[in-house]
Amino acid sequence: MRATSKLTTLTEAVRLVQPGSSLSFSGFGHAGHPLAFVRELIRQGTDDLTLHAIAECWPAEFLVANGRVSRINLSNLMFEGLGRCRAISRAVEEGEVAVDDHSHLALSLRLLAGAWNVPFLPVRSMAGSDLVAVQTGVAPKYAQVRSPFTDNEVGAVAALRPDVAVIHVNQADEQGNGIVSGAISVIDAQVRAARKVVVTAERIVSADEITAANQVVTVPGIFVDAVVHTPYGAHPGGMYDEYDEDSAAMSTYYEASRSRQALVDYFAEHLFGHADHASYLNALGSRRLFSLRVDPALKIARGTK
Amino acid sequence: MTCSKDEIMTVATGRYIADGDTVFIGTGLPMVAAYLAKATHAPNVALMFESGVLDPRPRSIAKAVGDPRLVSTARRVSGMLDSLLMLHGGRVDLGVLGCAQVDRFGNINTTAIGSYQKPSTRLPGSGGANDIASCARQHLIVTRHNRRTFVETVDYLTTPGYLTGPGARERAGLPGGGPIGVVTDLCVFGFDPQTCEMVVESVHPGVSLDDVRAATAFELTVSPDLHETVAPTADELDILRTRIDPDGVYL
Repeated sequence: MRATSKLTTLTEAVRLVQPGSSLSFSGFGHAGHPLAFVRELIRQGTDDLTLHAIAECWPAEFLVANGRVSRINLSNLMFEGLGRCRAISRAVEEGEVAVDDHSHLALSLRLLAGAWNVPFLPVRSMAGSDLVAVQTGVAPKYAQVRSPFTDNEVGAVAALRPDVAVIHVNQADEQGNGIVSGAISVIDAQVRAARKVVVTAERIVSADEITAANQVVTVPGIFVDAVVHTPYGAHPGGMYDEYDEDSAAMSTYYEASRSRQALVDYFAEHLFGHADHASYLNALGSRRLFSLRVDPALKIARGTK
Repeated sequence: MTCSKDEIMTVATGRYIADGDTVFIGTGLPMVAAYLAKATHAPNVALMFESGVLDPRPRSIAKAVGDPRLVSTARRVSGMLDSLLMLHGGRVDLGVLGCAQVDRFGNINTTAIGSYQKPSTRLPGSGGANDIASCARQHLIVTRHNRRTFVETVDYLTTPGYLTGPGARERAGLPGGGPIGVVTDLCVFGFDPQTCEMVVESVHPGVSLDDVRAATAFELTVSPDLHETVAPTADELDILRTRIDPDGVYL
């Protein structure tokens, strides 16, 4: 018998996220974030979310700007080359979102501990800093433990298991075996730690195509619950080997993020004004989307330096 | 040859990079400094970025650590967990960090100004900076110089320098050696091996010690060997301006 396809729609996939869930997203810098999924999540109104945010600047900023986030375990949230994530900064400054800070490695290892089903992993980072002294999470993140093999103490970080991880990939088959080109951030740990995994994919390919590249399958399909065909799913960010970040669209957002009212207007136009992702892409138009496609050798859009 | 403040900071930073080093950096001025070092005295330097980019040879200047200009020209690309575990394993010779606040022991705040729970300004957080300062063999701090940045006490200690002073890093169990210097747009600091405190080692051409004192909110300690920072050479400036950052993205 043939395995049941996991292909579904964004609308259906977003329903895997219950109010109050904890989430982890793919992406790094301005690339690889599943922003079409995030826009649909915001449309559906799911709130009281907890984020485990390592490099999720765009998903976290969009969700916080719409009041959907209660708590963030974070290591770094900023827009490289632009500046602070203003909606997040404002929400923290005004006490609307609770945060607990980590180093990148410590938060990554918390996910890896969750992925490996061990209660903690040792780490040398963070010792002596306020990342350790100030613990504001629901549960403690860090403790010093005695090594079982020597008399030395070492730091340990507690395992985290997100309810849902959402990973944007270049290509996936209908079982969710996904290939991510370029740097993979912490996708390995996210996929294995999460209770449910959604893959959004630029292209859906056959199982044979995945098998032909089986040394570089980033997301093992056995972990995946839903697969959604989502071309330009990382817009206005970029996707390595597919399209560049849309710097004009990113600037439009960043300018709007100066004030709450401007953000309401921004999301009214660029998110709530579209019933779905197809409508969002239609509004951008094929000429603009095509202009973002990268040169296959240089990996940046034609005509850019 | 006259040069800008950013250019002298870049050149002074580049001089800390030794040939053959593995250097962990972010984008911005430190990246430009590392490219300059690679183009001059340190051709065998390998750059590492927290995105998982290792040893890139970019054709044009990158704007982010995950920039396709870096990813597509690197000798190896993995991911953040992998690059930070290499750092954690002790394989990085030098890290270069920026800061929002720094104290005399080189402790850095990039998390929050004011209280942590309800800050007056929420900053981006540690990212890989705490990992670099905890685990790299040594690290360098590069920042602009003013009284809001050079403070008596950091509001939140994101990234360890020498913590409370001599022996504190060892007691905390930090494997890395700690900060070796601070490069600003006014001067270069070292750290006194006895006290672990910042010491002015050189002031940039045209800058006086009084200028440095006025821009520093803690009491200044000055090296007995105080000298003027060696100015950028015409060759260094030419490489920066025509080859590395011709469009002035960072400089």
